[in-house]
Amino acid sequence: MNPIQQTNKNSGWKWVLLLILVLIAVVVLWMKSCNGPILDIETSNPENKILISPEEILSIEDIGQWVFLNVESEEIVDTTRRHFFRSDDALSRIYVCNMRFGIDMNEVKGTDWFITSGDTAKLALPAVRLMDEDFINEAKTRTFYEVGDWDSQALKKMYNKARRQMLKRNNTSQNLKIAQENAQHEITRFIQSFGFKEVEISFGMKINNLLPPKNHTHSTGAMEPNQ
Amino acid sequence: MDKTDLNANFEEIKKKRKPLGLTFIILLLLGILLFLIRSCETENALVKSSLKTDDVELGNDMEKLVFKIQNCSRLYTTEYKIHKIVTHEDQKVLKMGGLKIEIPLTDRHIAVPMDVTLKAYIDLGTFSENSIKTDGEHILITLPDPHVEVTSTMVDHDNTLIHNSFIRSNYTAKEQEQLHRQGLKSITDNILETDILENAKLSATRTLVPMITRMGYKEENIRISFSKEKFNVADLSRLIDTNNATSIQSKRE
Repeated sequence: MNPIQQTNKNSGWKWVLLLILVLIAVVVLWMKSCNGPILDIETSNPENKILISPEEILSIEDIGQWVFLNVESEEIVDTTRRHFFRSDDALSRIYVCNMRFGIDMNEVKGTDWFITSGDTAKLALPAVRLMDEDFINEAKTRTFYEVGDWDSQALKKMYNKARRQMLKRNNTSQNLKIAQENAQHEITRFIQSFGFKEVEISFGMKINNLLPPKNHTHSTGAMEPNQ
Repeated sequence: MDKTDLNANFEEIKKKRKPLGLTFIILLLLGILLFLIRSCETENALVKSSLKTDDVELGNDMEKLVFKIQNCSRLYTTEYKIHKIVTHEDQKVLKMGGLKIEIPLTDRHIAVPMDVTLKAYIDLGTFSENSIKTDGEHILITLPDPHVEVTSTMVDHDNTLIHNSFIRSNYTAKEQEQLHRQGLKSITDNILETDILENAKLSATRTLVPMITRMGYKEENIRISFSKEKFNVADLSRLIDTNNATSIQSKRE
């Protein structure tokens, strides 16, 4: 290669280098003119919006649940997964429940559950109990500590554990007693609004005669917690 | 071997090393890109969690746990069970200024079936003799407007479907609960499309009329009316209980 050829080649590379530098400068200036970071990685759905999907009504049911006590509580459930070579996985969640205690008017059968005699009304009502099998609002669950990957089955186990804890804590004889006392008060007030002066209520049993003992207003309903 | 051969061999080795170096640089760049994707996900999660401080403050959760017992008198008359499949998908995007390029193999999808139970109720806590008008034979009862309450939300974990590309992290529990909340909101927003409020009135009548007939009134002489006959979107916030803790009106605390 002679010296002239060598010089031409060197000068060609210089032009290419200059062109690249100019291009980089143009790109940098263009990026700088845009708002936000120059180079960023984000998701295509930054607000995490769900896709539109239809809602299906599975069932419509007439119910007659007269509720007298509302217990709202939260339960912390946590779980860990041990690893030999790395740190343990852990997940802690707070579940929210709303447990309603009352009587199911659909359990009232026949006509002798409500008997009137002058200004006295006598009611034989079903026992006060927890109204719902499903009382957790899972859409209100809050995760406050999460390390590692947790699959759907792990979340299901935690839900079941939360449900057991809530039943143990809230479905107690004490709460049933409070609900029944309030039922006694509210139903009496409701019936008295219609002009009755005396209201006698029994829970969890039928009245067989028109004039039972005066003090027969205590509950005989099931009071044990539903574990 | 003479000096010319050695130089030739050296040049040949240099030529071979060029593609090797290029491959190394490409792999290094790919590695940096993967690291960036992962680190961005972690960063986003942290940003989100810091935005959610109104929900939970770390360290104070035990103090903030809600436990409320309230007396009430509510007649729940209608129950609707609603099923919805909440779906969500996203993909990582490389953003350069105003230009966005979807990064292949970074998509993920989730489908979560959930069941929501809605119950409509009449608050009898405010019921009094002023709610009744009677001439001894006919009776007119005015009841308050029905309310709707979400009594349970249940996620079908057995049938939840998740697809992740291999370089994406799984949907976290925190991310999933955001989707559940949106699903629930979508159901409560569309509540007027169901006739739950109208059915609540009819069902309340069906529950109360037998009781009033036992008091001595004939069925044809009983009339039950409500404060409002028709509901519109403006009534929604008043009639739907989204937060049970604040909506319960107890007559006897």
